[in-house]
Amino acid sequence: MGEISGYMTHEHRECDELFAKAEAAVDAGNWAAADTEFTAYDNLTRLHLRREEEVLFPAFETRTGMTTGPTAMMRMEHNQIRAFLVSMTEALADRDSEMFLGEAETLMILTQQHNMKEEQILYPMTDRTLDTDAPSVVDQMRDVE
Amino acid sequence: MESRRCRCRGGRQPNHQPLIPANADLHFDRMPPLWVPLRAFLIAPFLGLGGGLLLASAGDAAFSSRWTASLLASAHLITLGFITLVMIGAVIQVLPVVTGVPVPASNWVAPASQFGVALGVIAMAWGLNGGLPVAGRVGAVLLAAGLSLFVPAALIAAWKTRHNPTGRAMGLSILSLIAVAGLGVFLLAGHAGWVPLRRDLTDIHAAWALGGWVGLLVMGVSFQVVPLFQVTPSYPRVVEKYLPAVGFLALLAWTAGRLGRWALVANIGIVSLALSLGTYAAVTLWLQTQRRRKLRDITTDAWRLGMGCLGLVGLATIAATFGVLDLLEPRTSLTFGILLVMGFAVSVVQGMLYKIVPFLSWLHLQNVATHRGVVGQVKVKNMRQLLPVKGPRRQFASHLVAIGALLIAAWFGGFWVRIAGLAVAVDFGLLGIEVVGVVRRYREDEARILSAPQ
Repeated sequence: MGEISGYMTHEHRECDELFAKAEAAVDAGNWAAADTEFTAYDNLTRLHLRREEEVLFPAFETRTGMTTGPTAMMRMEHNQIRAFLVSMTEALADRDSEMFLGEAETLMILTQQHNMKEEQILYPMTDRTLDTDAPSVVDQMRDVE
Repeated sequence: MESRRCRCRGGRQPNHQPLIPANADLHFDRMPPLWVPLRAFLIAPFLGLGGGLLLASAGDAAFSSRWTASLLASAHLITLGFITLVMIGAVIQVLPVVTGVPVPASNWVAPASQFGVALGVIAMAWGLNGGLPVAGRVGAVLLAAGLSLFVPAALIAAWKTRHNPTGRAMGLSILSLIAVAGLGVFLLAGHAGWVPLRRDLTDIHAAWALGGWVGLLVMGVSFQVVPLFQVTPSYPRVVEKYLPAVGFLALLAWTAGRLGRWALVANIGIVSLALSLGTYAAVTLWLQTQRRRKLRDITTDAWRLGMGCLGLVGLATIAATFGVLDLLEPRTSLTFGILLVMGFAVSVVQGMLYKIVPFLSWLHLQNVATHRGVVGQVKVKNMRQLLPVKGPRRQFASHLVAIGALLIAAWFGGFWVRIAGLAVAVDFGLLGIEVVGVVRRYREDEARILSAPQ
């Protein structure tokens, strides 16, 4: 696995773990834990999306000249993911478990198909096109706060 | 759309891989209109319901052997009417989304082939069960016409995607469908009195249907939908790459051995087939133990049941090959068929529908909102609002009851056959109600989005 693929795939798994904990906490009616876990998930997911949008995608687009291809599709799906984060935050504040779990289920499938596309196609492409620059791109992504 | 050719500067190409593969942009924008797969998903449960009612009306006589006309009619309403109809919808839906290659002319090929298969199986069941040769002939013609529209279109798409494990497995399963359909129409012509009835071909027909068409297609689809819908790790590369081909070659070897009366070749073929399907079931169950979500999930439950039954069927096949089990004994052969059709195939198809129907509906509602320009202003219904969890749970419980009742009926016969038939009818009827419910809620939400101020 390339440097970018390895780093970003690992972060997908971390997001999945936090998501699963938040979802399980809501399902169990443990709202205090749900607040903590969901906040952690929300923060890491938003950070991950920004690492891609602010560092990885521009580097790939500059190198390949492709600005309306896969990265445009990924940006659109990022906006869909952010919309879910907002509605889940509201459901959590309202202590509305049915709404939270319904949004969570839809977000999970949306996220999984999004991640599959990135892990199977986009990240390997960025590893190949960015080539020897990949380690420095990973360093720049780590610096995003 | 942006060109998918490489326009990169200065990169090298390790192992001669293109920097930007041909399937670089994915593909939900290429999915067919919602009604193309959904029509099949809507009709199919009610054909399964018909199979249950037919069994209930035939009663004990249907289970006296695997050859009774009413059992054949009932079984085909489930295998062709439910499983194959949904699978055709799934191929037309999944191929373009996963691989970027749409099934050619799917907007008219899909409805024409689906109606051909649906009407054909009804006529065929009527012909077999009512002893009406003319209905059987009409059924044979409609089925042949319906499948001959679907098969070439799907094969073209599968050939273009042969480098993708899902596309390759789908291609092999569609090749299997040709064998199934050819043998099936020939057998039906035998029942209708056009040609001599060659019952010795029935096992070959059934093996290609359930091992080839259904088994390989489920494998190919699962490489995508198990990680996606059940949030598991991906299948190991070696499984994705080789297992469908091993299964297909094993079926070929077994068929050649059967037809040529080469017992050793036939035995090696059938054991290899059982091992490949059994390995697939074991790998899927192993992946499910690594699910990242903690919540109970009805799709995962249905697939666990399906894979458990597939594993049992694999073991039974191997036991029969080594003479430990007699699959010619009527009760054993009925048990084998029930586990394979209702336990494995119907369970995984139902499990898939619980996710694919609400997710596709959500995706299309999202598109409606995007085209209307009201994203962010109008909240689209989520999957649980489109399909509340209680319904599938109740339906899955009724599916377990149906399988249990069928197994009791296989061993004890009598009034249990009628009860089992009714249980099967309830099983599919509840599924139909759930799918209709999603469509109704989809339409309500679509109307709400379209009437929202822009």
